[in-house]
Order: sequence, then structure tokens, then C-alpha cells
Amino acid sequence: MGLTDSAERPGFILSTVDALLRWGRSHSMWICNAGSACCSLEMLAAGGPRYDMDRFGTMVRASPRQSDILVIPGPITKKMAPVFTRVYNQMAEPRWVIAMGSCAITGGAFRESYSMTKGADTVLPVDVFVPGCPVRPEALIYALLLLRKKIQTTTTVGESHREPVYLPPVLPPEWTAEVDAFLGEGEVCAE
Amino acid sequence: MPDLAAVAAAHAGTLDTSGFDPLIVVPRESWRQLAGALAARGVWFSDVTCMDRGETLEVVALVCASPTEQITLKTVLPDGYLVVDSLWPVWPGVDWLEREAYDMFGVRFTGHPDLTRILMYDGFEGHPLRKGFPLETEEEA
Repeated sequence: MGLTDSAERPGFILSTVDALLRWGRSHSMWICNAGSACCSLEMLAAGGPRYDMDRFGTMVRASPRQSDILVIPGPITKKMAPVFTRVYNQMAEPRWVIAMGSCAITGGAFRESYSMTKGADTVLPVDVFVPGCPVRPEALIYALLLLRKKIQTTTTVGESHREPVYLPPVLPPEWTAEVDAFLGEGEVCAE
Repeated sequence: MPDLAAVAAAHAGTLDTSGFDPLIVVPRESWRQLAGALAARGVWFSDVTCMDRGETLEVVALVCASPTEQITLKTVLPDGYLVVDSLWPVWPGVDWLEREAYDMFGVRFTGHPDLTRILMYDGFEGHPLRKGFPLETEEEA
């Protein structure tokens, strides 16, 4: 939108609008339905009734025009890299990218293959890296909660540099406790 | 099941029935004629692929005489001259499989209507399933 391109130093009115926009965007993070490999099934499981991403406003949309977040759930082959770039370019700004799983982070087990890119960040600017093979739905939900904090604390007025966030391979107990509290279902992460 | 011994003998090939499936090995020149003779006897194909043996490269076709009777056809190509007749005039369904074999192994199927890469992107160099292809590549997209 126009506000994102103007006003390098936003004044009072723009900063108030910015807070409103950040509040709204952080509570309606719609995911683009682009699955490249098996992690996309975990993404869909996170949208199912057991985990239910929809409860914090995260829906899987079938159109990049309607989505804010591009989750890259799996390896990006060199042949698919232009496709993901095109999907990313079709999304309206501001937009965020989550690299989901080992393959999307570094290439994973297929890193030395002839057809693989060495990670999604060689193709697109990634905001949150979620490790796992595959990523459990709790980890994806934690990444979405983390991204929500990021959206809430990052201005979308004017240019802003977004540093990527790296999740550790094993989620610390306090983090899983946070997801548990969010899910309201203590035994999910205890498995 | 057609008379495989007669079909193999008519195309200068050999029949080996010691394995799990009958195996017919023919020279390169009678590859398509063998397929045509089998197709005239009601045999349909299920797969076309290659095997790289290092010195030679084998083009393999799996064909079926019935849902439970599978036959393996094979022709051996020397490493330097990877050209064989396409089976597309016999079974048009081999289109994408021969494109994949060309993409991965570099075998050129003469008579194929559109022999272009199918799995790799257009600017890719080399044929990755060949033994001589480097295992690790550091080029970026």
C-alpha cells in the first residue's frame, strides 16, 4: 500500500496508523498454499482440527494475492525456484517468508544433489527458519507466534530491514509450554 | 504370452528365461522392430529407462503381455554413441519416459517428436544419472 512506500520518518499520524496496521496484520496472517514436499502435510496438519491454526487468524489461502506469509515447506529445486519467486512476487506487500524444515533451510539431505538449491534464503528473503524433518505442527505454530511478535514490533511504514530468526532444532521447554498454553492442550507437546 | 523365442530369433536377439521375467536382448538396429513385433501380438509397455554400466549403457523397456506376465527388453549401447530408435511410433505413451531417459542419461531417441528435457531446467548441462556425472555440484541457481 502507499503508506509503506512513503515517509522515511513517519510522523505522529503515520505512526498511529502503523500501530493499527501492525495489530491487524499480526492477527490475520494468511498462509499461501504452496507445498513443495512432505513438510506441507505437517503444515496442513497444523491447520487441521487438532492444532487449528485458524484460532489465531492463520488460514491457508489458495491464492498468493490474498496471503501474507509464504511458508516454504520443503526443498526448493532449481527448477522450482523461479516458481516460488513468482509466487512471492505475486503476494501483496508486506509479506513474510517462513522456511520450514531442513530442506528449506540448507537443502537438508538433498543439499549435494544436482537439482537442489542450498536453502530457501538463496532464493527468497526468509524471516523465520523452522528446523525439523519434518517440522512438527507445534514448531510451525511457534514460528507463527514468533512471526506475529515480529510483525508487531516491525514497522511497515517506510523501509525496514528485517533480520531473520533462527529457531533451535529442539524447542526449549518454555517455548513448548507457550505453545501448549496457546493450544490449551498439555499433552500434545509431551509426546 | 507370445512365442518369445521366435520373436527374439527373428530380430537377431537372445532370449533368457532363467530370471524372474523373460529377458530379450537385441542389437540396436532391431530395437523398434522388436517392439513393433511384440505390439502386434498384443503386448503393451509399462516403462522405459536406462542403466549405466560404466563401459556400456543399456536401454531397458518393461513390457507386459498380460497383467501378470512381464517381459524385459534390453539393448546395449557403447558409451560413445548413445543413439537408438524411439519406441514412440509403436507406443506413443513412451513420450515422457524417453524424454526422462534423455534428460537423465543422454540417450538420443531418433524419431521422438519432442526430445527435450523434462525433469531438469533448460539451461542444465550434463546428464545427472550417468556414472561420470560429478556427485557434488557447487553451482548456484
